[in-house]
Amino acid sequence: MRMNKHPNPPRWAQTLLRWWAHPDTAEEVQGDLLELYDHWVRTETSDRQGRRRANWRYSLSALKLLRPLAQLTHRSSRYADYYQSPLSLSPAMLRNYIKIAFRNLTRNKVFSGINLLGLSTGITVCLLIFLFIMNEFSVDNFHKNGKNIYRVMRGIENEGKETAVAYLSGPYAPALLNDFKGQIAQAVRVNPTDALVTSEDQSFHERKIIDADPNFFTFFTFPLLKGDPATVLTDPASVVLTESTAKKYFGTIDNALGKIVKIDKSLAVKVTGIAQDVPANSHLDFDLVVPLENYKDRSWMNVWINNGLYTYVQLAPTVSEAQVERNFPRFVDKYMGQILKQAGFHFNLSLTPLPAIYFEQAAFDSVKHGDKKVVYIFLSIAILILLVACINFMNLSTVRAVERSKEIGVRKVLGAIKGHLVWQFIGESLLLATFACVLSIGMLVLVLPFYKQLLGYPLNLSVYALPILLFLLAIIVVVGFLSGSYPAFVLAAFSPIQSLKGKLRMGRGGTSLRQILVVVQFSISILLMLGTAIGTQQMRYLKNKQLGYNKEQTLVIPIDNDDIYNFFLGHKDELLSQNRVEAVSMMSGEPGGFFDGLMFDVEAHPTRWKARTEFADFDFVKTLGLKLIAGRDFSPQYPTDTARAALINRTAASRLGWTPDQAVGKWLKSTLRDSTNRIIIGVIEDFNFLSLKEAIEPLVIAPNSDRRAALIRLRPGGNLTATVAMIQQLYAKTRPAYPFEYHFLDQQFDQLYKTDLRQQTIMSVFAGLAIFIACLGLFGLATFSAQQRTKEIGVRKVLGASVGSIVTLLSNDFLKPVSIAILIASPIAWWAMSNWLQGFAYRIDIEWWLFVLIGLLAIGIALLTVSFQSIKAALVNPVKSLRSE
Amino acid sequence: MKRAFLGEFEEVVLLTVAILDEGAYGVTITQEIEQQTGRSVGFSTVHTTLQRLEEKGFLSSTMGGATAERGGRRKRFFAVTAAGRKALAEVKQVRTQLWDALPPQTLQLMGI
Repeated sequence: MRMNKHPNPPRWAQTLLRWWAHPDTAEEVQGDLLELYDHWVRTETSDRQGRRRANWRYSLSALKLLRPLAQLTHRSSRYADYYQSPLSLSPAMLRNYIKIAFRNLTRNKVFSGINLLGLSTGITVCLLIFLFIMNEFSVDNFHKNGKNIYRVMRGIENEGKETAVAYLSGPYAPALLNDFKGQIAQAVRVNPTDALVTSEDQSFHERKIIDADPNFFTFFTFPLLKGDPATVLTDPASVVLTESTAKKYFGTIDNALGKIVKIDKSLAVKVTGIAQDVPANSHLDFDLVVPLENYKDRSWMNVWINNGLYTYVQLAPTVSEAQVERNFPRFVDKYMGQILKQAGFHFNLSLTPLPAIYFEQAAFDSVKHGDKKVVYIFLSIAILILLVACINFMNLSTVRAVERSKEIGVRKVLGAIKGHLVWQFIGESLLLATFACVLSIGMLVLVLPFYKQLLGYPLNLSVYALPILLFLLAIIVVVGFLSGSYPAFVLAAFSPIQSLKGKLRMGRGGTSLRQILVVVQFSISILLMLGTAIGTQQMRYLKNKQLGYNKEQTLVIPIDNDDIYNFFLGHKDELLSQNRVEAVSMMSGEPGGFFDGLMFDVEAHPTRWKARTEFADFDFVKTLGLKLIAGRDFSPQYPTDTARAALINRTAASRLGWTPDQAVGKWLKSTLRDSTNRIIIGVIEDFNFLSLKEAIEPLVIAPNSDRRAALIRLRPGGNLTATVAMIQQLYAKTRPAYPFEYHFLDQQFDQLYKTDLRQQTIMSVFAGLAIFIACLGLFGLATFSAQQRTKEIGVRKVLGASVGSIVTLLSNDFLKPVSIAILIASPIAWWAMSNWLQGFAYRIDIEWWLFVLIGLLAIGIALLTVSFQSIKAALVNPVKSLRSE
Repeated sequence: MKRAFLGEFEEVVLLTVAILDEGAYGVTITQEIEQQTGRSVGFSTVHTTLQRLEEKGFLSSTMGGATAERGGRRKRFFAVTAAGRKALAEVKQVRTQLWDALPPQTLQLMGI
């Protein structure tokens, strides 16, 4: 009797059999039983009874065949050779995998191109940042005793805030060695300076000279090409040149040895050693090393309270930093207790480990510094950009899976298990990552010159060859697994029947995950864009901020030698008589330069008060174009002004609790520099004499003679070069040994923000790259989606849809994630950038329109990327798209 | 020489495989035994016996091609090996000897 519905044995019995029957014979047993079942059903007369009986017999047989009951045989061993397990690592399979991988790469050039370009750009950015970070952290790591070397810092506590200063005076080092016997093994004093160096008949103004104790070359590890590190500086009349300095003076190193050079025309020293050029990753930088012994009579070598040089100590290996620091207060009290009490200062000594000196930005010193915050910012950018590139890879790979579904089906039917496929796809992504790495090395070599320029210092690739290699290996593994694992698991889970029938649809889950990934990508890009935009706005604001003084058309001439000092002292009137020169002033610190912080006794104030101080001549206010808001300026009509008068700024007046008018007539007196009280004769409007990152501090301007810089203010208009040449001629008439060196005040101002501007530029380049990579991915997705929906678009067009509506349809899918990304990124950017802005005394308000602008920009870029594909798809003649197949 | 012992059911199965020649596999063997002997045999019993015989070396087996009606599963075809034929011949010879040794009156009693 035939049945309409084909009868099936009970499912539970089938399942049991499948799971528990002996694997070696499972196939034929299942087949045989199924056949018998059919037979049993057919041979029974009654339909219902027959099925029941057949079911019963089937189940009974199945149960009897389950493994613990069924006889175990030794078949397995015999079948081992026969049924060789499909080994995915056999050479033939490997060859096949690689072949297929290459075919896939070449078949779909657009996708492979996007994948490779995105990944390699991301990796290149990572490499660049990696180089930067490596370089930052490699500073000073070449010193043999580096672990035990510390720099002694002098902290000045004032109003609860401590400022650490690196400059100490000469007596510290011997006293430290004496008082900390056994704890401090060695000490070396280093005085960074500049001087005129004369060799044979040439003179050079050398800016990188250090005066150091004789043990300098054994203390630090600056290798000597000639000379013995232990004795090279023992004789006061000796000097060590670096290789390039020696070549500059004498042509060759061998020529230089034993020659005499003159420092500042007076001190004759013999070249006793040649040092290798100082590497870029050293906080100390020098061209010449002169024994400090030559300057033992200077005040900064003898007077405790003075300052001028760095003091480094090397602790004994067993001694800790804290052990030494614990005894510092007693040390300070012993040597300086009296004078500190008299001046109202309080010193705290501390130790900074050698590797930390480079990142010790707050220290007032002239050595090279880096910013740890920037390192972290760059590090996070690198990670974010790599993530964006990886997401591209993931999205495009999963999307392409549909095309590869047939391959997956065939593989599965031919016996591939999930594990094989997972490894195949991870392997492919490893392969692609390797390609991308090779490409990125090429890119790196191409962009390195520009990068060096952006960074402003040289990077030596060969030094970092090994770390780069290791880094790339790590990148390959991380990128390969990160971006390969998701597609691998999605693809490997395909059911072979569906994939072979071509019925496969990417599940809803796949689509939404892809969209989430796009959201992440664009959030990162928008975050970087917003960060860059706000950063740029802030820097522009700083540059254009009203400084309160005139920085245009003003020459700054550092007074760092006697020639220039005497020129300004003796020829000021002559300079002023030139019709192009408006004003000339000599001072202790030009705006943006260094301003001493001194303690003052002030009228009606019981406690001492700290203020920044400017020692200037009478023309200071005029030259800088400052505004007087109360009282009068210094004037030659009152000869007593030099010793008895002072100007203060508005902040100083308000800090002292006076209005500007009240302040005039009160007295103050520097505890260190003045012998008599100074009467405040006037109050000037605040101006930004420090960096704009800092708030305006109280300032006292007093006509003491401490001349470190001269400003020449020129009248507007006229030929600048000619005027400068004219001033140079005047200077040349005094027959100076030193060349005339100058720069413009506005240049110097820009210099202050040079690092920030550089980092801004690098940031914006990286932000641009991030959005570029994200758009590449979007472009790929759009291409795919347009391809997938060719038929749908054709049908829509046939039914009367307009091009516009189709473009909207296709673009909408992609605009949604971008819009969500804007919503996510904006608050994060707002929070992060407000934190960053806290570091500036003068800052912009973050404005809402910026977010709107960047949001629109992101949408615009995304739309542009997507619309290229969607318009193309929408314009296709439906006849073409519908005719295929 | 230790002779392989051939059980009664084993002998039946072995003979059936020999009868079916090319087409001997689980289902046909079971059905043939049912038909020839008229007794109901469980598939599992046949399957286990076939395996035991193969292990003893009396049967050899090969997998056939895929078929449509069994859910795409292949059949395992059995064939009697030389050892199997020899064992069958021996069993038969022993039987004949025994029959021959039977006294004529007993045979008459049995009605043969």
